Amino acid sequence: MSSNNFIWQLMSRCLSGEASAEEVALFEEVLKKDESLQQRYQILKQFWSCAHSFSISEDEKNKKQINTILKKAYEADILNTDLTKSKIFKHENFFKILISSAAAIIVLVTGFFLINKKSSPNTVLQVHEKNLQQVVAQKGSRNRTILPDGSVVWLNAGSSLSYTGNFKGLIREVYLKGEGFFDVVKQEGHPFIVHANGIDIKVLGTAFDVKSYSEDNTVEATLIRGLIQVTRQGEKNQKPVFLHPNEKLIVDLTQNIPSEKIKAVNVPVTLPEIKIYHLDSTIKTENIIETSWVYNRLEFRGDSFEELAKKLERWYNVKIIFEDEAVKHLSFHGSFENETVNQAFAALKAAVPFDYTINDQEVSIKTAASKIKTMK
Amino acid sequence: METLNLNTIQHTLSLNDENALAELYHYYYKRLIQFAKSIVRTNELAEEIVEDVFIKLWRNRVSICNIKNLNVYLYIAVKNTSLNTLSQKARQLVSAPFDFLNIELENELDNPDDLMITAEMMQKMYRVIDSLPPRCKMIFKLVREDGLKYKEVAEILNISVNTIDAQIAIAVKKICTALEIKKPSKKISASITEK
Repeated sequence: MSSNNFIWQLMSRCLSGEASAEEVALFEEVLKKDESLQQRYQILKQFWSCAHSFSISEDEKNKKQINTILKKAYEADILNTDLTKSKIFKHENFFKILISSAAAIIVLVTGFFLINKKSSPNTVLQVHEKNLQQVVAQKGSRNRTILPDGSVVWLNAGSSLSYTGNFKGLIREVYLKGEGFFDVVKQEGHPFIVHANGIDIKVLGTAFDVKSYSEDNTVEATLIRGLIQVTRQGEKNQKPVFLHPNEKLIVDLTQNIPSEKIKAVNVPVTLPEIKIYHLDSTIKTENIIETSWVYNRLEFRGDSFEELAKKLERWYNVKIIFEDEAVKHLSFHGSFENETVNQAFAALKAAVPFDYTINDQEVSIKTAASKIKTMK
Repeated sequence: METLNLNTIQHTLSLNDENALAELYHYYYKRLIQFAKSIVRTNELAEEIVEDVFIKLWRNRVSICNIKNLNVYLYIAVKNTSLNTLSQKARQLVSAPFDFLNIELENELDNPDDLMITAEMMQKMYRVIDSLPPRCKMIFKLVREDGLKYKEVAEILNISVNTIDAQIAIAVKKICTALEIKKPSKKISASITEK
């Protein structure tokens, strides 16, 4: 009986490739003496060999699935950086492995003006630690800075960036006023956080642009590649919002919804005042409006004159005064690259008639006289 | 298993190569989903489990080279995740994981014509395999379909190699008996006892 079972073990081992050379030889001897078994073994052998038919498929669904896996993994990575500091400290060895490959994100935080007039652009930022570093781009100029960790920041006109020390801490934190484009070097376990006008943007390693002028009442973020997490300051239990490539996020700072209320209505995933828009992913980075300033271009697409004036004021370091209401509602499409103030206004006027006078750093604008006449 | 060099994959994964993850996933997802499904029984859950395992694998890619046998690791990870998923049944399942589960076989043979195996033989074999006790069926499937070594299956299912050896023999014996026209002659057993 046991010997009978041994045959089947022998055959099984031969089929599955577990048999030793001696066992194979022995089994061949056995088969020679039994034609029926020989035949059935051949059948089984074929049955066995056609088994490894798990096709290695690479269809669209699987490609999507891989992206889902990667996306979720990165999201989990970012969420994990929410660990308390002591917890992070315990795992410090793990973080010694620094990965310097940098993905790129662009976050634009744009403002739509007027609400937060309280704090002037030059207010010193609230930073508790000593050793405060500040980089400023005056109105009418833009600059590029390299941070202690190797990350690069472009600052748009009328913006400032503050940070403390040399980034040796667990978190790399910067405070932004105005607009900045960040190319962040990835450091495992050392998240990079931008605090900007009421929101926090957390990244692991990306390039992004933040625009949050204090006179604006919205914050915008546009992501080109990578992944970032956006949270509103002072709301501890909120679910973070993730921004994926070619998405633009607008936070309306005028809507102040208390977190208890959010919990009560049970919509924690996307805060109502945060909206996400999709950008055309076929556009090259340098042609995206949100980042055009990095390439020294001032872009405007259907801006009202009132909106455009804010951009022009920062871009050219001028003061723009509207002498009547109607002229504020003209709208413009276009871009400036090397134009002077005079050339810029001449070009605007050529597109849509209005009257202006430039006095030193002050520009006065009013509805075109010709137009008023025709209206009368 | 031969088509994939796991050492190379592990190395490139540790260097953040997303393509390596894709390659690994394409190779394994079907068999792992099937394996998970044999425990959790629904496709949706099984897919989630495998997704989870790959998410964790990617997140721990820095230390992926420490995994000795990625092949076994993936199956064990899927098994553990599956059992955790069945949190209420987990206790019961850990002691006898495959005794009352649905084990599905890959219906692989589309072209029996080019083989000496007839469709009838094929049916016979599948019927036998289907009627095997669940544990035996699972072991047989992992060895034949997933191409795992006895030792690997033993590690994954947490049983001894001898058990694998015996269980596979039972399956092979049953299949052979089903294919048989005459009873096996006494001669064979005699020739073995002589040894």
